[in-house]
Amino acid sequence: MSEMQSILSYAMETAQKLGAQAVRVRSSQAQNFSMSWHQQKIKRMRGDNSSTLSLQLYVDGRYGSFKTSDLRKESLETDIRQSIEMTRMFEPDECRGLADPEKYTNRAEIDLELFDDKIAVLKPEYHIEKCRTLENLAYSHTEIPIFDVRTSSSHSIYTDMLATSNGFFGKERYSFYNQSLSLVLNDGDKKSSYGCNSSSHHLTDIVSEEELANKASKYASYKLHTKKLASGRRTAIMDREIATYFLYKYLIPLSGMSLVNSQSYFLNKIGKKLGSDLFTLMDMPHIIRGSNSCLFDAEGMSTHDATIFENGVLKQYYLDTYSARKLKLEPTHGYNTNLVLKPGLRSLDAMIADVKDGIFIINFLGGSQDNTSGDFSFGISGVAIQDGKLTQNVAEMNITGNFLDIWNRLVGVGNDPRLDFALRIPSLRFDDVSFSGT
Amino acid sequence: MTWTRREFMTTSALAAASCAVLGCASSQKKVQMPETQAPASVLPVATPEKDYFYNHFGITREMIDQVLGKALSRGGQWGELFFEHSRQGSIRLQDGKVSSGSSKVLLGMGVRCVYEEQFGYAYTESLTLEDMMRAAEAAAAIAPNVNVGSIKERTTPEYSKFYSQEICWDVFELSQAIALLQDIEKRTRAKDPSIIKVTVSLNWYQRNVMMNTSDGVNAEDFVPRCALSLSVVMQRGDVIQSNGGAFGTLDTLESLCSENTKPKIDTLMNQAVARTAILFDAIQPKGGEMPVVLGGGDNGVMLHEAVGHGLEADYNRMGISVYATKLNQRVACPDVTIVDSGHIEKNYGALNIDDEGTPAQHTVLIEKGILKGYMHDKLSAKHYGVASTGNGRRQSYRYAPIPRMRVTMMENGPYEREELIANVKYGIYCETTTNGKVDIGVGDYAFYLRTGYLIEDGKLTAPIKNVNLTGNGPDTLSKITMVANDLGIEDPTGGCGKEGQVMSVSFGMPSVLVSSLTVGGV
Repeated sequence: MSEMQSILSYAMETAQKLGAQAVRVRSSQAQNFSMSWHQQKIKRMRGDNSSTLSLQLYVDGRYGSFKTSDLRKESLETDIRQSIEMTRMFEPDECRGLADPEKYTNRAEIDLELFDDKIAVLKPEYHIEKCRTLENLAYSHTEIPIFDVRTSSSHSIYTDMLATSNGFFGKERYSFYNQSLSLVLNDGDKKSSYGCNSSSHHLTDIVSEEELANKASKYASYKLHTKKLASGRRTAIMDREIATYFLYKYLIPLSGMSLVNSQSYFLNKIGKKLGSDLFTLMDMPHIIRGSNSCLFDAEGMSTHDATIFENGVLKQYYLDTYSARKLKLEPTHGYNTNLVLKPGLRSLDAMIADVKDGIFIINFLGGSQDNTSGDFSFGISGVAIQDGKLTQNVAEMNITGNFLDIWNRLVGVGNDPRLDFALRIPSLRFDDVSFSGT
Repeated sequence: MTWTRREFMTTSALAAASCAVLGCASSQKKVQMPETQAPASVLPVATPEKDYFYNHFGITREMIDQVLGKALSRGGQWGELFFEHSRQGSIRLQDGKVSSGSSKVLLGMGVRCVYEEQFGYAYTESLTLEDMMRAAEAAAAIAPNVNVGSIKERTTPEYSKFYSQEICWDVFELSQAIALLQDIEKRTRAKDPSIIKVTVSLNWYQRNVMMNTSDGVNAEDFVPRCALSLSVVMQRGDVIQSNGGAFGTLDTLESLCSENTKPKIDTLMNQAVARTAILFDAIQPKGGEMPVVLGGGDNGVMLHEAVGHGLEADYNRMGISVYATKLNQRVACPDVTIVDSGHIEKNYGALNIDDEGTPAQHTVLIEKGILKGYMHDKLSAKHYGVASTGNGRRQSYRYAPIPRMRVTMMENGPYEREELIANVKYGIYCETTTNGKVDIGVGDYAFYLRTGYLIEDGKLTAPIKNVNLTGNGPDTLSKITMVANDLGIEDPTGGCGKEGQVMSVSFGMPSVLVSSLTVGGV
């Protein structure tokens, strides 16, 4: 038994001894190394180990939780005792409790390949080489004067364990490698910046330095010499990373707690058509090497593929045990794993070539949404499209609408999702969207 | 916070119904115009426990000498040890019951070794000498192993106290806090029959820190923090609307639950209900460029984004900030004076001493329209050859400090708010805002109007909601044509994110007229 597993068992036993009838304990250990690089030199270097223990306590029908990085046994007993005493002061809530053990069963027996042995033994010299390569490539990808380039390279090794007092135990070990590039161009007295990164469980799945440098150079140049267009309705083409962010914002009120609090435009919308026929979205937890792949969720419930939207029709919420009981529904998963929007056949370039009057959006700046009504408004920058051609760079504009309306305006889906993202969303086209500028 | 993948998935994927962002709905208080000199008054409070880490965790001065020595053993020019023990708690009332709560403990120490403008950083969550030495060795690796850095004898700097130093969580009766939440829920519900949900949350936090540096500082601080937030959901017919409010303070939980806070809680309830009710009538306005009157207080988020971030010295030191070449130049009209202060008593952004051991200052950034200086940590101060302004802050021992704002505010101008509105033929009045963002290099920024009004022929008319406002920092500063005399300083409960670190900050502003901003609309 590892030292951490011993601490996890001790915490479980202590909580039960002190009066908790049901307990869920999770331990997380991480080893991290990161390096940032500037002008052919290491700028910052970090190395650290962290260990955290989290307990969810069910005491006399009441619920409380506790998390700590102080893993000394004497502190743990005191802190767990105090946490249980605090929990006893709350009012009972019949919906609180561990997941039904039946939900722990039928766990898929597959190797998700989330751990890369090669990442575990990376040395600082490897990171130096990656940072240097990225920096050099950045300088070779643009003719516009470069003001500044910063690169970074990092890796992490995680070991997580989850145990419940009603019989669940699960362990996950996974690795991550990340590299990033931030570029500032300076054309005359105008500066523009763009950053991009890639992160994956395996070194071989990372987006190449060449591709990152190419994208940063191209997109930073899109942010130079910008103008505002006149306000009006036109077509929006969202780059795949912007489309990913846009979908992520849209789905936030799909969570159980948003629904329980009546702060969700998805309330009572199961079975309703909320998007065009092109909008089919799957939650796929078992993608080999997938960024958010997992065999069980945070409660220990076994994961499985699920359809969230099918041809625009909402099929499922994200419900943990508590929110499901509050809503008198069956639990699903408490959160998304890998989300896959059914891709189309066309490239981004082909989608742009089809647009008569529109904006190719490459960046959101600020903005927000009303999770109850669905109203949204985001600042954007990008490039104007006229008769299929990218023309004038644009910025300081806004895209405004309502989330219950805009997915019906989805008329094009690209073929280019990023496979290193948990949300695999291709470039998207929306028609007749409101932009404000001058 | 280092997020594990699982934590990231559960908190950031889709489960998070709200995010801690700057300008999350907050209540506002009116204050006198601050002076550009540091206020002389300080709180008459008890001294926090001295030598906290020595007394409770077995740390000794000799251990600190050893670990600092190890950090500089390869020729680091400057080193620092940062110790932290923080405890947090929260309770939440939902569906009429206080039926859940949580607590959290963070214990650890970080070591930084600086060589020229490079640094190595490492932390440990075990405070044994062996583990601290290991962290110091990792941090020291940044230096080229040429010689051994020097360590000065440490003394404790003098600094004023701007928040309570009384540690009281261990003795506080939690039932008082539970009763407070129940009372708030009951009284809020009574204010409007269309209310279908009320959620009230109370968070509290105490942070003990100790800084020891090779340039001779030994300092400790204790920070208490509480925040109360209220969310209201109303239904009229088939239409559901929600809004809310919150306030935070650097004070004890006992103080928050006392009679003294009742007027503030009454204001919070009234505002949360009114700001939800108005959404039923509010419209998204027509978009485009137009004059905007930013109301006092809450709109300080614009100041934070358009000016504040660009004046944090790290991005100027790198030459990236849009303000990097504007020192001592006119950047705004003479009515505009902007300061960043740690000295606003009990405010969420108040600071006694920063996380590098520098007493927090009251720093003038823009004086009568002229850019006078930046917000510095020790690294940037050395680069510019000035003293640190005490802006070196970090989220926890897991991070190295960087320049961060405290309370960033604009001083009062000569006009009445109504004069500003009367000067607008067609535009908008921005009442409450949230979710600011800035691109520091370009200066473009945005913030989100939650509630406001159209201005037509110099008068407030239809209520508006949910639009994004965008502009460019220096351009907006130059377009501030009128500054009112109604400075409000916020008690926000959200955090400001920068380089992965979330920090408690605050802001304040009188009403201002900006001659043109881009307003999102339909």
